[in-house]
Amino acid sequence: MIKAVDLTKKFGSYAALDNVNFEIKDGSIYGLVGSNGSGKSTLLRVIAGVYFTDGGNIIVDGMSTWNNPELKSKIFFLADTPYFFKGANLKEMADFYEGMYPNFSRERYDYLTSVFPLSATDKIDNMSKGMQRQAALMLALSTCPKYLLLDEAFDGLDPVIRGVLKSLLLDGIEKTGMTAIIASHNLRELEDLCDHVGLLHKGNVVFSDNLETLRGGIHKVQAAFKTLPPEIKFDGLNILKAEKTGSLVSMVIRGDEEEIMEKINSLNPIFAETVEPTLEEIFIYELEVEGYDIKNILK
Amino acid sequence: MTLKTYSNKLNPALNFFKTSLRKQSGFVLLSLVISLLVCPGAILKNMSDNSNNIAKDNTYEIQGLLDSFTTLIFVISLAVMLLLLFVNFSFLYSKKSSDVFHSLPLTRNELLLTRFSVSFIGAAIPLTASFLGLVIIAALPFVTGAAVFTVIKAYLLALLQLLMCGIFMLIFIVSAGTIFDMIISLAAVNIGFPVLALIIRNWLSTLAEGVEMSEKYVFYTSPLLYSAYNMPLVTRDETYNVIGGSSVYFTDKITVFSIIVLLFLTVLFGYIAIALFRRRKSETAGEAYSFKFMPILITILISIGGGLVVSALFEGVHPNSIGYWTFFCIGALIASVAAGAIMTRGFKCIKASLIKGSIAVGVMAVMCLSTLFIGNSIVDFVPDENRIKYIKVRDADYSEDLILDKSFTEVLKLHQSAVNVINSTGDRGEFDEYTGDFGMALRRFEITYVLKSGRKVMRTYHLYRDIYNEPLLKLMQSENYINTQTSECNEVEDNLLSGDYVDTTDQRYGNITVTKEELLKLNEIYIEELKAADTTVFYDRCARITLHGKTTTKYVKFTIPKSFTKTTDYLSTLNIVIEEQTK
Repeated sequence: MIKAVDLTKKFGSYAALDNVNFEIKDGSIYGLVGSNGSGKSTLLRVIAGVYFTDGGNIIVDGMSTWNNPELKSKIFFLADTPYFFKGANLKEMADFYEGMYPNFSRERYDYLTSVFPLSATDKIDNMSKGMQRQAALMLALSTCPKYLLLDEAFDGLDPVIRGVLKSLLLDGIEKTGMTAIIASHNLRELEDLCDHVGLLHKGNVVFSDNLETLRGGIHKVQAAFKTLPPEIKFDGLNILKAEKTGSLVSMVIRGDEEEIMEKINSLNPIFAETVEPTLEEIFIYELEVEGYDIKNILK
Repeated sequence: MTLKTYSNKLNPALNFFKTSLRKQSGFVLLSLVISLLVCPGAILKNMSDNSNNIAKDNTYEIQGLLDSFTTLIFVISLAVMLLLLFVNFSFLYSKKSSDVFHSLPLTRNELLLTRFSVSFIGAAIPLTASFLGLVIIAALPFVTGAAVFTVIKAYLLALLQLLMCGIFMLIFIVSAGTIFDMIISLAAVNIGFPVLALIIRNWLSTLAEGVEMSEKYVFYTSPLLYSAYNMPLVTRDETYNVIGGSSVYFTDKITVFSIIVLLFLTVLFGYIAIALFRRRKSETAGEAYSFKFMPILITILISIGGGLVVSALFEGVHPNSIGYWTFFCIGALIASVAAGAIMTRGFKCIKASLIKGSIAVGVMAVMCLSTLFIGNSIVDFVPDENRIKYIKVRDADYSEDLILDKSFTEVLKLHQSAVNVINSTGDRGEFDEYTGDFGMALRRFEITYVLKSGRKVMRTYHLYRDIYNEPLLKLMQSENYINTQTSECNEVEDNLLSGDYVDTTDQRYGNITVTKEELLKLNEIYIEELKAADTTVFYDRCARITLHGKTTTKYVKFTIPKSFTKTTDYLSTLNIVIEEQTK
């Protein structure tokens, strides 16, 4: 399990992570989302033991990763721009990682070379960006890490390889109990893959929860009224976002679906229905909450 | 699919070491080839060129080459070490590689020590191979002037110094965020501090007449220069005796204390490098420096450099005028702003740079005042006779090195007379604008004392010779001087000597060739006339000859006054060929 307790990381006076607290359970695929500069990559680097913290702790399996090779041998961090030795080929890199990570599986590596259309003897420097990322993912998965940290994992991958990667991640979790943390802006990809999601904004965790719980807690409601009720009538609803087009009102509301509908129906709409929001919509709504006073829109 | 995992006994640090070693093998091989070409390659070439002489005499004198080649091998290895450190620690300067290396299952110490040891081994391989070649050459039966043990001692010293210098460079490598800034810092410190030492040395001789700081202190300010300075000391130490002729070298020696100092520096630099690396933030990859102290130090050194250049261009090198300090301030401030702009990649910290430039001016002022204070406190110092072990006197005209191991009174009188003159007349020994004659009116003489404590005291004076004619003449007529001059002639191993002849009256130059027998005769007549000479000898010189044998670089010199008629008569019978009429 990964647990952050009052985690703070500063770059000069700028706090990239500011008293962050969250937990990631073993065996989950955790999607880390957030606006640009929200601290996603920083968080991954802290977990991987690349950065040391300026406050608080990051605890993995009960230990701190900083300067802890035993723990780091169970973690593989794949940054947004993969790095390979100059002039190295896939085989040489695999040999290197085999010597570094005790759980490196040659069998898995051989299997992955059959899955990904890459030559083990070609220079990685000469490969395209997407192919380099595939190579990095192959190597990462071959180390059979307990914790796989992926920063923008799907960047540069074509749809077929993205599908393969998703399958491999799910396969890894099923077979080895791996935990994957994936930082990405591609919410569509995460939505299909992740069971837990954390939203970072300005170095703070806005939410960190099971995706289903998250979805269950936020509802898109569309309702039409003959005459739009005054704003005061909507009091009691935790409205994240609202838009009106004539007598049609679209709202994003946090809370229990039954209670929300009961309240809306009490306002005698011509019709009212709820729609499950996408992760992208949740992301946008939550960030708007951080930045806007949506009640003004209803005026 | 079943997953096969490897044993937990895997040693990532060892594997990392092996991989790093393998990665640099090509570069090490290239360095090895270059190193072997230089040594023993160049020495073998020299032997081949002299094969006829070797066959004739069955000897090959290597002593002269030994000093320079042991130093050269060391400098090459140092350059290889620096390049390997660049390569092995380049991951610190890129965010991409920094992420990978810092996330590997290694402790920070393992990461640092593995990469460093790989660099050290890579540099030690060419060093070892070259010294091995040197050992084999020294062991050849016809090679003289170098004992195998001496070469082995030089090798061990080189290895220790390579380690020390490597660790020293490591401090700059882990403190920087880019290769560019690392090179700037390494260059600024290793050039800046020696330049400061040179300035102090210059000031000391200017502000405190006669007091001279040994050049070794300039080398001491940089571990890299210090190491290069140390290298020839091993072989020289073996080659020259301390007393007993003009071949005496009053140089430093590698002692047990020197080795202790080197070991101490190695441990100290190692501790600093490890402490800095452990505290180094990975995110500083790509920034100028990882620690705040480094840009401050570098800016101050660059500011001082800038100040010196501007003041030298517009005013001069002596800090005794308002103009000097005005131009120094201007130069220092401009340089500090420029240094700040380079480090921050733009003019983002002008105020901070100006503060650092002002600190540089303050540092220079403190240095100047301290030098003045120290210089004034030692300017009158003349060592007690009982505390002296040896004295070397070098007079500009009459002798190359006069070494004394007893009867120091005449030298001390000479020294005291110089001090008295400076105190009473404020003579600075500068060029006489009225007579327009520096060489005749003023003469430079140097005195180096080696005290029984091992400490050295050096004094250099430029004074009117009238001031010290009497004590100098007594010194030259002393048994010590005469024995030294005679033993120089006796020790010549060759039967035929050649050299330069200068007729100082007519400014004619030529070559002179004499047999050893003629040399001894010349010396005998010269000494006979010297014993009876008076102080006019200092004003009527007419000829100067410098002789050396074919197989040695040791010189025998004579400066002959006109009044030494017997000597000049004998000289006219010798084989002198005037080559060029310059007057």
